[in-house]
Amino acid sequence: MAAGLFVLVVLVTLGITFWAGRRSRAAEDFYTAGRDFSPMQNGFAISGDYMSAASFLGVTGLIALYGYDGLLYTIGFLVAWLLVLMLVAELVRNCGRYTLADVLTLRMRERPVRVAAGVSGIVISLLYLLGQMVGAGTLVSLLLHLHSSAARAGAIVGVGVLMVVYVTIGGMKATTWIQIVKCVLLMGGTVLLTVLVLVRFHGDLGSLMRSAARGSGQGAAYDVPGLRFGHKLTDQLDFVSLGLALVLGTAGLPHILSRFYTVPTARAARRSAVWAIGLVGAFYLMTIVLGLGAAALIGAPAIKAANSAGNTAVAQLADALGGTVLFGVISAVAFATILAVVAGLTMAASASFAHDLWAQAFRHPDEDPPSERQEVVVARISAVAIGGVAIVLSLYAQKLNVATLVALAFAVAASANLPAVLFTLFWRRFTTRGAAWAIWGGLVPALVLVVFSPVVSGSAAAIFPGAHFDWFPLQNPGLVSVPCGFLAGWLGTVTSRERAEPDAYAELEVRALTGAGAV
Amino acid sequence: MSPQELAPDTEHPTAPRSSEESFDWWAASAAAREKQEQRREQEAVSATASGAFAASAGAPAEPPEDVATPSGIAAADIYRAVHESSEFREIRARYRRFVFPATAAFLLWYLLYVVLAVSAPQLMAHPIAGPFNTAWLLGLLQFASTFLLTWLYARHARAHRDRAALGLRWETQDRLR
Repeated sequence: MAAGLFVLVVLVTLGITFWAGRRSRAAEDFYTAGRDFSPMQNGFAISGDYMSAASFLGVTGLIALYGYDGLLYTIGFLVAWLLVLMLVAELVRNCGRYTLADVLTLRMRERPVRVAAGVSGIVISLLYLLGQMVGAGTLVSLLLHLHSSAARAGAIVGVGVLMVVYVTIGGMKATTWIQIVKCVLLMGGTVLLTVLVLVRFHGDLGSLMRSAARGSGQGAAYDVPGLRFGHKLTDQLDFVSLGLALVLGTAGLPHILSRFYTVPTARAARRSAVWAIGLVGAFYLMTIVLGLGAAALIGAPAIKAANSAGNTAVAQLADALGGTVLFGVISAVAFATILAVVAGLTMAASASFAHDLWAQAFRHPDEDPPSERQEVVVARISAVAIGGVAIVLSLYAQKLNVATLVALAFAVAASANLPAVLFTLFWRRFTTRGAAWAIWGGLVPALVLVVFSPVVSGSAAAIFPGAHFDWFPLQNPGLVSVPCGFLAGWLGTVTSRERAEPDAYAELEVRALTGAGAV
Repeated sequence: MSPQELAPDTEHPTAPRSSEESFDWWAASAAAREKQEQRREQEAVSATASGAFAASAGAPAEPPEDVATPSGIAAADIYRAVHESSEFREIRARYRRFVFPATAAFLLWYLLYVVLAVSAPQLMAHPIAGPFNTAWLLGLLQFASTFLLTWLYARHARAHRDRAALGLRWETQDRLR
């Protein structure tokens, strides 16, 4: 049953891809799907991009196992959207063409900023991709009951090949439609499960919460913070660090920002962000019910027995509520979720490479820029290369925790991209050196701190459990690296010899706030 | 401009009207919309009659044939002139007056919540109704405040910014052409 539905998901998404790929030759089509989507369609696509398997399966599992601490994740993921809505969406839509670097280079010199922004875009997308693909391997093997390491590796390679096909053949149009279909499926599946849970408890939320606390075996500790994150000072700092990364990271995620280029106007970008907030918020509210339902109806011991991180809690809940049929449907929805998110990430990474690095940064200033058609060819080739890199890295990173990897991607996005974007949009004196320093000054500390954190060495769950170079105590670097990014941007600006061009800032402000000259 | 007033639906001249309208979440009822459209038409007529933008740069509008080939310098001059115009300053001030305090408020409220969650266990465990305690209340309030602020921002942008920004956009692009 589940396997048949998985095949159906693959066939439908491939059908969309070949339908969308028929006539998309120009760069405008490949990167932005012709900017032709409506706010509602784009809102669904954004939500599809955002509600990853880490959210659907991971967060629900965390709520089931750790109660209130799982809820803390969902709040960070949702509140982050206010930053996107108010400070980023409209202005970026008005100023940029295909990537984030387009906004920065409107008032900065091309090459230093393109190199920095291109590299950070690829690093963030790869980290995020790694999390999704590692999750995909685990999930496909769990959901299809294939428990050999060969089956898991096969699932990773299969997902990687599919995402490359979606992007190279279908471009942004196929990616967006896959997101929309996935979002509808995901919301449908979530609503169905939520209703079934609520019916089971006769709509009595109090009795649901009491049963969940009982099922978790934690009693009163289930309904207060601290079950997952602990009470030591480093635990508390780590949690604040995570919260900071989640709330500031979304506005710097390349695959989310490039979504706003697929609508015709800034006003449409705002409306799509409003749709996204509505959908994402509703979704997370329902995951609370699902998590509590899983704890109440299945119980923590059975969830942990199936997967120690709780990633199968939703599937088990579906099985308990609707038998094999519902289990198959929800598994297929989770599979579609993974496929859609990896496609969006590959799309963003290939745009960063082709449009920022290859077409602009790796080029002598006197050289003529390449034609758009050449750029699209390179973007397609780079999607294949990025897919290959992601597959190889994922095969080696299978031990890493999915939620940790995704949180790292958020931390890097918050440290490297957000300071550069905010300074560019709102600080008159910001210079080219400031922009480059802001990106490098956030990206490098974030990555270095991760290398020296308990994620990489010194703990049982680390990549190198035997080694001990974990002098940085926090799992998430956000608390240190986000201020580093802002500080580096400020320092680069005050130390640069060249002054900010007032006319360039005037043009950026006029374009950002009115939409004049927007493509 | 009254806050209930909606921005024009013809933001994108090539986009079909129906698709623009059908996705307007916050659209007023059909009757109110019709009344506003009538008023908007009257305003549009009076605006063209009085030449609303002529004062912006303090210079008479150039005949189109003089700027037929846009050079970099000319474009920069136009952007600077628009940047210094009172219309643009008003749009920017309206945007910033809402967005900066709102961002500061929601970030502080979120950080307060995060810090309370880790540092005030007694407060968080305080029961309100059955298993429902302060922690859950604060968490759900974060959801509520996010939805509320989204709605307020969308309403503010529509009522106080969209129309003026759109007018300035076409005006600027006409001069750049």
